[in-house]
Amino acid sequence: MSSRTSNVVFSNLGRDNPVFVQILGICSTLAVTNVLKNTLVMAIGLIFTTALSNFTVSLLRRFIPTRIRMMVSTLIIASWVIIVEIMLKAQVPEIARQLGPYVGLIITNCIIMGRAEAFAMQNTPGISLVDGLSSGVGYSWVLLLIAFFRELMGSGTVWGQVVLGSWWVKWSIMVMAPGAFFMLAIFIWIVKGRILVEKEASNGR
Amino acid sequence: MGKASMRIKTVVFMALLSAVFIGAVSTVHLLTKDTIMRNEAVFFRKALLGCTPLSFPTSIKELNNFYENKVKYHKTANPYYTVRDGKNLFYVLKVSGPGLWGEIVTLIGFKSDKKTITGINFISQSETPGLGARISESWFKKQFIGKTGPVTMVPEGTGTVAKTQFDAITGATVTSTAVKDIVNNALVKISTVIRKGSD
Repeated sequence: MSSRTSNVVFSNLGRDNPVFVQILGICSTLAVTNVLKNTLVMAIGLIFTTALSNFTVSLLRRFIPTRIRMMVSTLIIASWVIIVEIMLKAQVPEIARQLGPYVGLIITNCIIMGRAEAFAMQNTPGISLVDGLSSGVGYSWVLLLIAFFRELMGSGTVWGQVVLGSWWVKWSIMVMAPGAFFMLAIFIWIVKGRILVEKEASNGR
Repeated sequence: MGKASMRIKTVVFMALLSAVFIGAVSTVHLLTKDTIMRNEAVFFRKALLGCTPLSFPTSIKELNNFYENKVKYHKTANPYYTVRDGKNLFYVLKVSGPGLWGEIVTLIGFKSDKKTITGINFISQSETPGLGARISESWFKKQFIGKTGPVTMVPEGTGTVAKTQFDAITGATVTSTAVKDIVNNALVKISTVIRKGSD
């Protein structure tokens, strides 16, 4: 892996993470993280569409008139999302049924548009694909972590399996949207207050 | 002049690109249309047969044979399905009602007495995952078997065996109430819409 590639990958996973540093894709972070299973499928869908959209935008970047670049990006993103949705329905109907409207909502995920605007418009297709993939993974690990705690505390289960017995009083708020606000805020607080601060300080020296 | 030609170029570019992507999406749609429709049909048939106590084959071909031999659709003003297995006859109704976020569409099976529930399946619902969506869990659906209603709700975990009660879901009062209404609605329908002797 070249240093450029590894730089892109690691910054998307960590110090430029789309969720807790760029604060993008928050709507889906709130919506899908109450059950791990849904979160994983959402994450896979997002990784797939971010990578493909980034790649396509980058391929066309020299031809796209600047004034309509948002329209073009939206068209590309929407097309990929619809294709992903159709493929899910055809190949894994059970999962597609559980996800319901979530897959279509990937279109509105700001991470995809953000990466297309900020990265794919200026870079070659190869590295844009890597950027899309790693942004998707950066989004995914944060969501899965949040989902793990929300499902555990809200339903007493992990991946639908009961782990906390009947002694556990389920925190219904964890399953609802406010629970996501709390979890995400606590997560951002820990990461920015503890981990990233030290890095910034050491960079400054 | 330059500005105008730039504008035209932009419009042409967008139109062409739209055509290309619409073409791609349509192609994928047409290629998978039959598979998706077949998946939907299999899902519906499984859900319908799952409302009866019958055990049915899982392979698609056998399932379809089984279904076509035993299930009959009655296209009356209030349509219903009958499932005939030897001497046993079951009625299945499709009833829907408003949930918290959207319509809950339900299949409910009845014994030939048109009173006792033999099973319930939700074929479409968009309730909150982890709360209302738990109506799809098997303990929730199974508890309706044998009920004669009209049903009322008791708190989750009661494990009621009364024929007129069911355990609601904690934190999902709206959804539970919706299910209660759907079930009661079905109980009224089954006793009134299906004419005597018509099966």
